[in-house]
Amino acid sequence: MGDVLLDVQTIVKRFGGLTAVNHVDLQIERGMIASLIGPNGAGKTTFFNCVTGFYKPDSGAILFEGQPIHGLRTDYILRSGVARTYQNIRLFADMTVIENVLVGMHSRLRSSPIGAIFRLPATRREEQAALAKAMDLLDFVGLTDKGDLLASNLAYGFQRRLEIARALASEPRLLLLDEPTAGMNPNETEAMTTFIRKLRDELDLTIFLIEHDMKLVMGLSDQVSVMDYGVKISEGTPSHVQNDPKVIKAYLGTSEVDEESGGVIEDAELES
Amino acid sequence: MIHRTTIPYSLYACIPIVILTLTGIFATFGGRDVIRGELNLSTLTLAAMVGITAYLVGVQARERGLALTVLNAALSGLIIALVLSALVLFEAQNDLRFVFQNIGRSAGGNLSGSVLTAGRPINAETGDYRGLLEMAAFCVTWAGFISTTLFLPRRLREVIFVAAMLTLTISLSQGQVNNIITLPDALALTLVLVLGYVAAVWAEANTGLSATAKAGIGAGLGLAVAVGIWLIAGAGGLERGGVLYGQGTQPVILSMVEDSRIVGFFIAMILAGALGAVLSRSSGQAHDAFWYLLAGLLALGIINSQRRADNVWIAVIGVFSVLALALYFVPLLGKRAQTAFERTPPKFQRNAQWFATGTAMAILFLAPQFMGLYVSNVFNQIALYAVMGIGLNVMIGYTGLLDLGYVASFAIGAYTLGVLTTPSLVTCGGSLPETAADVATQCTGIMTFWEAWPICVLFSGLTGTLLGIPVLRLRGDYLAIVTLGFGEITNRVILSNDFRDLLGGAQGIAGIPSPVIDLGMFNSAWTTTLSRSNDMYYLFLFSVIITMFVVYQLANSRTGRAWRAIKADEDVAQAMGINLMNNKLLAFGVSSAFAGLGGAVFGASVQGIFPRSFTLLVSINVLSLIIIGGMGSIPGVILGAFILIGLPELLRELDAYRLLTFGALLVVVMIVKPEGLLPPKPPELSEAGEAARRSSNMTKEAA
Repeated sequence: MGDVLLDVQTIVKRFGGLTAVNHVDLQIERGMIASLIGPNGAGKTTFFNCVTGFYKPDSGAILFEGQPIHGLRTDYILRSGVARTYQNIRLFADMTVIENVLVGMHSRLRSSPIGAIFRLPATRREEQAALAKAMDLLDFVGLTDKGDLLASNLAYGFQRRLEIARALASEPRLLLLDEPTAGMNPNETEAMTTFIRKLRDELDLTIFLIEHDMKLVMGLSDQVSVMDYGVKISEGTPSHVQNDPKVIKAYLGTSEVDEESGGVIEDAELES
Repeated sequence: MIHRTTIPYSLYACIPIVILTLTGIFATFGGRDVIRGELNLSTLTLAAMVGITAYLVGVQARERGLALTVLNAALSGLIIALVLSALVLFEAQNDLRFVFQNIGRSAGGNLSGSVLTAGRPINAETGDYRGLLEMAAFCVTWAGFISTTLFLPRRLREVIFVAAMLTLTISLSQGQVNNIITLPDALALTLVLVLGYVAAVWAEANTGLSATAKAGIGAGLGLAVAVGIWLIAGAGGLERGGVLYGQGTQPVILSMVEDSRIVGFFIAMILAGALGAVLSRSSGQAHDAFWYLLAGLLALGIINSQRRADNVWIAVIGVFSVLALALYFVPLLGKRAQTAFERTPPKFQRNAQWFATGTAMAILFLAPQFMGLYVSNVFNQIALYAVMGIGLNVMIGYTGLLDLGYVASFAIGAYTLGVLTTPSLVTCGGSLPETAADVATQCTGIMTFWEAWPICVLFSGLTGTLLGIPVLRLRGDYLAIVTLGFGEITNRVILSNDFRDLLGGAQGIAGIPSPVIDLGMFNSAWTTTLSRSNDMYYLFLFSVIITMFVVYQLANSRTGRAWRAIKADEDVAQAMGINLMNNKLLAFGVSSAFAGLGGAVFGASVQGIFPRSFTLLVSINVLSLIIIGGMGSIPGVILGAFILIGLPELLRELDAYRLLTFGALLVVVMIVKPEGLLPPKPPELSEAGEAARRSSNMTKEAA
């Protein structure tokens, strides 16, 4: 057992009569690329929302680097080092690309309103450094020369990358990606796969992603967890999960187990 | 033949026209001349209504060629005329005054004799319906004529429309803006600026002179013209009937040559010449702004001379030509100036910008000396609303918090000033002297305006923040309703008898002393009381500048980004590490502080405050000017203040219809340009970012 970065202990989240996340345990080690898969409505995004503080779990605990973060506000959780992207891209549409990244840096900047009004030397230095770092981040995600565009005017694939750049700007140690390739064609998906690996390798990040694209998940992940109806039904290496009868049942909705394995899930890849 | 939209459009257009007729707008406007003896406001209104309809109909039918377009437009004019005729005839038979009280009064039907019958009463008994026929003929021809302009090139059409509208606005304002500038003054300024400009352009093309040398040439030309004027004035040119004497009004600037102010005159002329030369290569914005200002002054000069002219049309055509020429050529020249500007060395660019800023400040500073009390007062009103607009924009435009109770902070600022600076029971040792004169001599307030002003700002900001705490979790409509309640509560509190000793109840606080600028410690003569509106102007100007500065700096900082992120998506903003509570409360506080700043200056300028000045209408006005000008845009708010506060001052007749017009204007802006007339420009940070990156790399390498 290596160094556990995120330790989710039997969390439960209920909406009225529906138990969206039902006693889920999950550990992610530092430096991993971990994936969470499952059919639509399995509770994956709810699980993400619990980790990032959008929802407060009804019971259970979430430890990040050994510190409890469950029940904290989203801004505290971000500050402690967990950043995320969204399934349906949620950029600040009326702000420019650079400004979106600068907002991501908000929690790492200190300047006060007073400093801003009088443009005190400390504030100016901080802004300059922030701008320089934002430019570096834009280069890193491949948005060079697009800094002054409005976020809403970017092409779809670039919006995804900008969302990642914005999350990276907060200097996270754990990055949660909610369906990073949704709506992308095979070429774009391929590029995104390479990009996610580059994120982990070059920035020493731990990555936790929700994905429907099985090829991406299986090719990229060190650990795959599968959820269905709010329950974690399987976990392990990609090959272990691919061969787990419970997983195949969840995806195909039948009790017959197809022994031909791997290809099954790939074919069952969901439409979204 | 007839486009399918023609008839519906015309009938839609009839709805507002009939409403305006029945609410008596034509009757009210009939008494107001736009062009003396030639055109009154009611004719203009009818023409505008028919014209807009014809234009819209024409746009639909345009592809079918000129003839059919004119036919369709004329048809729309005819339909409107028919509906109006029916209304006039119906009204002649049935007195509608018991419902529509303002419909107007005249014999033989209340609409008869108005513009709807071409000013000619109709007579059913003798069958004299000539008035209606004339009106119909006018509508048809005018509609047809308007539609032909659709076939002009787009830019030309825009120039003509804008120039015509401005000409009419200036003509309307004639009574109020008299004597701002006389024609000879305006002509002299124009001459000097144009000479400097042309000389610099010529030197640019034919010589290798440096930019500074060109400014020198401009200054020299200015000096030459000044000397010429001085000589002509010496020869009696400024006497009545002389060359330099306008149409019966003593020139203001040129007269300086005759007395001790002659040095000022020479300096002004030299600076104007240099400005002309600098403008030939300055940033496009500065270039255009100064030329439009000059065109405006020239137009005002011409209008000013119109009063004594025999033929009023000469002046109207003069104003129109000046404005049209300016609108047509200035943007083209501006582009050239911008190109030339970008080629100049950075040092010259900085100097030119300082020069332009300095000149603009000087003009703003000297303006009230020429404007007179009434115009200063209008400017003060505009400035007050600009301060509040920019302040409220922090909440609405940047942070996206809809506040309908902004008047509360305005009232708190004004009342704080009233309580702190006005003689009261507290400062008079428990009993007030009986007469107002005794109060003035025997008591003073707790503190002077200057000491109280920052307290008003801080107190408004603080109460605004406190009011923000309970509503932090509310969004959108709910927040609007709650803040609306705050506004009303504040109004009830200041009206109530419980606080009468302190706040004056329904009587308000009278006798707020005017601010005194006391520099007596340097020179006993340097003490001024800011009581007249053209002195208070400076205080308002200062308030606007300080508000613009603070809000601009905040908007372009970490805080401003946080505000705009909250507006875009509150949840994601928080998930990006933004503390919603702190940033929202700061927006409440900053916004309220500027309302307090405005309120204090307002209280000092009207020297007394009354509860009825602090109604919901103030909040609505401020909100409207933000929506019209542009959410989150400082120039937009200033433009909005000019349109919503300035224009109604020129159209006092419209006062009763102010809210009607506001409503109509809001609807039109929301449909045509929902982001406002001057929406905010996104900041361009890449260049600065590149520069920052280079310098940080350099530091790294050095280390």
